[in-house]
Amino acid sequence: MCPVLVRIDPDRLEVEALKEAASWRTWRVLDVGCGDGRLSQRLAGLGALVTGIDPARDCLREARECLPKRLAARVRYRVGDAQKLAFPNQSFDGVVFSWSL
Amino acid sequence: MVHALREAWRVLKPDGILIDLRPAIRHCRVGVLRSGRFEELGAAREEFDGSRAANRAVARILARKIFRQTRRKVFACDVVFGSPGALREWIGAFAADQGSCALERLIQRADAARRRSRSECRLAARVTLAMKVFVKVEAPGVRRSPRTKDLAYRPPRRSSPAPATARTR
Repeated sequence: MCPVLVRIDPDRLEVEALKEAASWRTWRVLDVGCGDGRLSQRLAGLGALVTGIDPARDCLREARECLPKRLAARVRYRVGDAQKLAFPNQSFDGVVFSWSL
Repeated sequence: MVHALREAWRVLKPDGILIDLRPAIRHCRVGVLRSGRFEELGAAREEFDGSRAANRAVARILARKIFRQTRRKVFACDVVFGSPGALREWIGAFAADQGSCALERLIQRADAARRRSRSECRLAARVTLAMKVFVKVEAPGVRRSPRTKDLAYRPPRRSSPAPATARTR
């Protein structure tokens, strides 16, 4: 169970803005600095296959714990550094820096 | 930051998109959310240096023409807190006046307003966000700099002991 002490964007305006930017369905998306995975979950909810990276293991642990089962197949989290991405060239349709640039 | 953006360029497919979503202005407003309406009680001053550095990095990649901006949207985003402590911690993560008396008074005022309220009322901060969308540009005419070549993906090496010659140097 995830303690909800901070809830960002309860009106989901961020999601609405993201919907306007792309279709997202079946897209492979990299969420750089995913933190607790809030945006990764929302992108997965739009149909994207999301890889969330963050240098903080604690955040990723929280993100994995808070990931709903229905999205588990669409989201994966990895420890990673934005300046040295461990992914092959041309492997994502979208890269998102949310509060992380 | 420029390195991060270049890495993003590398892992993106042709015509892939890069989204930069972050606070657009330096003040986040603090108040209460009552019946879905935000009532402002004051503002916390955010750290601005990170934002300026990010803007410079974005300007550099646009100047190099490896990305093209296609869209910009500005909108307000609320952050709701379960306790004054959570609000304090969240603001403290980026506020320039972290731990100041003014900020502490602001938090206390917001908490007092929440407790006084008869209807459902929650502590909240309102942040103005800017979302910029960039499209990857594959420019065959543009010469790739040596640094771009250096950033080409190499799978991680398996750890093996360094050769003896290297160790004796």
